[in-house]
Amino acid sequence: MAKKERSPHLQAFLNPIWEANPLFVLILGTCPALAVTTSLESALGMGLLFTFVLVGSNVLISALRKLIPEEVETPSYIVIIATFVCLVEMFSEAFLPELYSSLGVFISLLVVNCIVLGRAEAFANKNGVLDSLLDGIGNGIGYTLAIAIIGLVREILGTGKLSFGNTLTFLPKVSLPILNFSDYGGPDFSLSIFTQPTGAFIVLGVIMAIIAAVKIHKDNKAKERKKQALLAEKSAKAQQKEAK
Amino acid sequence: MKEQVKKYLLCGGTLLCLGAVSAGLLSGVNLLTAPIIDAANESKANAAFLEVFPAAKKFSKKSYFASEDEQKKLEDAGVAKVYVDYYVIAYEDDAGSKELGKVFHGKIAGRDAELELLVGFAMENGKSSLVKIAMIQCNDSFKANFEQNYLNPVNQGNRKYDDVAGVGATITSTAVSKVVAEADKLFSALSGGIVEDPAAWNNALFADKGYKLLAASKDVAGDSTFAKYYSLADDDLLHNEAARFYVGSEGDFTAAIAVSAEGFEGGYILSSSFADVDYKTSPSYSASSLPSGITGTVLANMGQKAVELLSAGGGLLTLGKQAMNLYKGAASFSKRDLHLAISKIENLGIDDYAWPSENKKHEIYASYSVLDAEGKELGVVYEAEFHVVKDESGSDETEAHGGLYFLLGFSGEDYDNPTLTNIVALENSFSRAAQLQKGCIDVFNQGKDHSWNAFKTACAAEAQVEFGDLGATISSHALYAVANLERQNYADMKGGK
Repeated sequence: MAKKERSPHLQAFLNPIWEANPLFVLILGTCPALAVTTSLESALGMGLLFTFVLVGSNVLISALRKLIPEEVETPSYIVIIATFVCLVEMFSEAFLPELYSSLGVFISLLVVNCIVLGRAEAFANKNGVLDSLLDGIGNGIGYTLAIAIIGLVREILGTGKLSFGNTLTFLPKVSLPILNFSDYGGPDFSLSIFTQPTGAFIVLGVIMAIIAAVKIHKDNKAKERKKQALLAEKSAKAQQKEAK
Repeated sequence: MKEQVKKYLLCGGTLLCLGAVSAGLLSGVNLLTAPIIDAANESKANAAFLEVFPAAKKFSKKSYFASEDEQKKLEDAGVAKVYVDYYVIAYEDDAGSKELGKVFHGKIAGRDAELELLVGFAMENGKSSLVKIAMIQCNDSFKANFEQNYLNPVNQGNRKYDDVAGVGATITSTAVSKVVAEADKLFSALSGGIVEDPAAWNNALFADKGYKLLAASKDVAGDSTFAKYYSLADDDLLHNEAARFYVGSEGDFTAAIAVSAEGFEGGYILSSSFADVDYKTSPSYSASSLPSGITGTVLANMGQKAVELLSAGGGLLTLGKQAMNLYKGAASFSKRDLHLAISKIENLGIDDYAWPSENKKHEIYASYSVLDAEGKELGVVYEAEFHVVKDESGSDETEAHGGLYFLLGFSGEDYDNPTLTNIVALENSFSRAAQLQKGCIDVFNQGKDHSWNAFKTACAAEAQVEFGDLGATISSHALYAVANLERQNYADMKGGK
């Protein structure tokens, strides 16, 4: 059965979430992904800020794409992205100070994040505002999902607990013991290496390997289906000829 | 050409517009968020200050030097900026009208960490009083060291550094002490309190003479002007007093007055009540060197009083003076040359303990001839020391450690059995000092017979005890041996055998 063709808008939104995930598939933005994923909460916070910057810059760049001369495209995009990053920085320092302290310099580094600049030049520059908006949201969700998974794994394996309310202070303060029961006098099965950069690389590598394996399996299955379909077509043609 | 110029203008204009819009937007947002951020930072900082003054309602930050006048005040008070970068005034009320005290923020860079601490001071009975020390930023590894060495109450004057709010860093407690001392001086200087820094006075007035300051001050009893004094000595062992700093007040005016055997040497003004006065004084002070007014007269008056006080108290406690104290009726003394051509060391007959040897040393520093009012010699007092170092093997079983620095006087013409004064132990740093003191020094001093033979008997008796207490000190051997050298020196000096 032929796959239903997606609308371009839906394609722009869904593609970056799985098919072309910026972190796991395109391997972009790995620096903040390794640095801020010591906890799920920090990762979600980073994802939130990243999405805002990406969506804002994508929309504005797309809206101004016909006005910005080609010769000054890159510096113009950087000015726009930097503006959004500064906005995000000021708002987070004022309203989410714990998140601001936790993310530190990595908020400012969003200016030179390759995903943001890459999408601006590769997509927003060439597409309409709606598509750029959906692309920004899609990439934002995809990246947030990716770093959230890494953050979740690292926090559980590294600290043995899952905590909320420390950096995203609008969430209730909760700490769930999963592998670490030392607060209750129990054992602690956590491995602190996962809170270190080494652990971050290990987790990223394993997840990428799993995703690659799934993709290869899917590709193989698709190839097999195509082969079967070709064989069936050949067989039907042969039968037709015989009948004549 | 026109097209190219048009292109450049377009590019430049585009960037300019983008930049202008961006700047405008960001300034607008900054106006909105800056007060919120400042309030959050202030409350974070205030949270730390509240640890020091929990009752404070308002804090007002001040830079290190608020104005030129204040800078001059601080510099003249001898405060050198080392660690403190700003301070905060804590107020009891929201309006900031009643001051509770001041919190000084200090930073120290350690080997692998930086320490930030807050030190709070308040005025108590006209003197600065340490309120609390709070650590802001530090590593846990310092905690054990800091608590063990620094949290024990340390008396500096009337202050106790025994209340710390946080943990420490990989920085020694000495560095913390420096910040606290710096903050203390700053606070005193800023609050018009008394800045006592005798080391600085000594440097200012006696730098060329190389006087050494004795650690603790001594109280002055029964004087209306001066409450205490600091002694300065001109010898390494700090026993020969050369000058004093009397600290006192006349009304609102507080000063440290330097006096020596020569008289009034100079003054160091401490209180900051007189804003127009030039705070620095010079050793060659004269009334005309200060601006006219009450301050010049007051300083001169205080100088005169200090000289009279010193004289009334018997003058500086020099070694010669202490030697005179050994003889009744002594009126003066003179230092004599030492006849050091003596080599016969006599022990107490216990051959196991040789004197001197590599790790047992002695020295006779000086002799003082003590005279009565008619100029007749009452006796000759020797200043000497024996010093025993630890056995090189590290064993402390057979050696006494430290030494005895003492005065002993000789008189009479029987040089084999002269009359002795009491033994004055000026410094006794033996590991068995108490035993030596009790075993032969006190026994001899309290005895009725003050002959050389009686002294020898006392030392020998103590030596028997020591020897009996196997592996103990040889202190009485050393005392006898050195005293015997003095006796021979005395005989030689007098022309005897």
